[in-house]
Amino acid sequence: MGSLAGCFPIVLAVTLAACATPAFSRDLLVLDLTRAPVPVMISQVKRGPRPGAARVANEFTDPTPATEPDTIFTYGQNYTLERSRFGASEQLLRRIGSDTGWVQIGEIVFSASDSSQLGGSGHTRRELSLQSAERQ
Amino acid sequence: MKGRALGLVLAAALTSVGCYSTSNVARMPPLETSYPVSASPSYVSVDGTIVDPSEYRVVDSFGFERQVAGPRHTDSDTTLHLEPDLDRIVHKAHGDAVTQLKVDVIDYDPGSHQVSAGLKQIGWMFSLSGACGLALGGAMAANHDSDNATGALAAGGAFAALGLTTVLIGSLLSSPAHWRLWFSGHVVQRNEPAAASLGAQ
Repeated sequence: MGSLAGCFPIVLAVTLAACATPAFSRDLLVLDLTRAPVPVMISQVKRGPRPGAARVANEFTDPTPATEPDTIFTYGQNYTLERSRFGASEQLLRRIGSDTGWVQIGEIVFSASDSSQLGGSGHTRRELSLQSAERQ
Repeated sequence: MKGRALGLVLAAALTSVGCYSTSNVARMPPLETSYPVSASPSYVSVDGTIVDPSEYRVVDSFGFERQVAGPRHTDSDTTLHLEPDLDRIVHKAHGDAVTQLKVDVIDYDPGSHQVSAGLKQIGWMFSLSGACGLALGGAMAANHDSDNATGALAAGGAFAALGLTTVLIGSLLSSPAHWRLWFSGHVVQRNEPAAASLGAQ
């Protein structure tokens, strides 16, 4: 019984070590649009330039980068250290074209989720998603 | 047959107690302010015109931190309302717009999610093992195998006690998860039309 009880601290230490949260890259989660060539409005614009053909807000999921049309700006990470190549801000800036008059940001969402399963496996995700509508 | 059923029950119990998740969402809808707030150097004014950096001057710069906490092993969804903070800053600086609003993630702390989950999982494993030991000891005692029964009951009891204590400790660790966000930007004041035209010349 002594040897069985003796294994408890070892099992506990291994389990807790396996539960350690991986570090995440904060730079991918920064909302920094100070290089935007056109106005990017965070407040709701009531009387702005005529909306015209507004492209609808986008949804983005990791790990799909900006190659898909109407993609999303998301960053995620799990224990395999999978992560977006570009941050949300960079992805949004890349979408601003020469025909874009200004951009209305819809909703900014920072989300984090951690799950731990028996045996020390788990999933960690840190994500910034932006919804935007481009006005011409 | 009994052993197989016991194994299934044990596996189901371990699965149900072995998974813990914490989700903490901080969302910021479009700001409802009486003045424009942009993330870029230029902005769309209240009258609908686009104002470039050459048409305004920075009267103040600001930065403030907001934390969004969520209880561990729970899903939480919080809506941030920055308007009161921005109203105060803009009115104090006598500005009429905010530009280059930037949001930095200072940190995300999962709180005691990981440690608490780990302790609970290991605790449940030991508790269930202990329960099996007790059940085995009970069966041995019923079969008049008192020598082995004593050992099995003692080991089972020790494991169950150790496990339940660990679960209790894990449950007591309840530090919330939280985002730490840093908001910064400039308060600007649009130039007078005459000054703007002179500047353009």
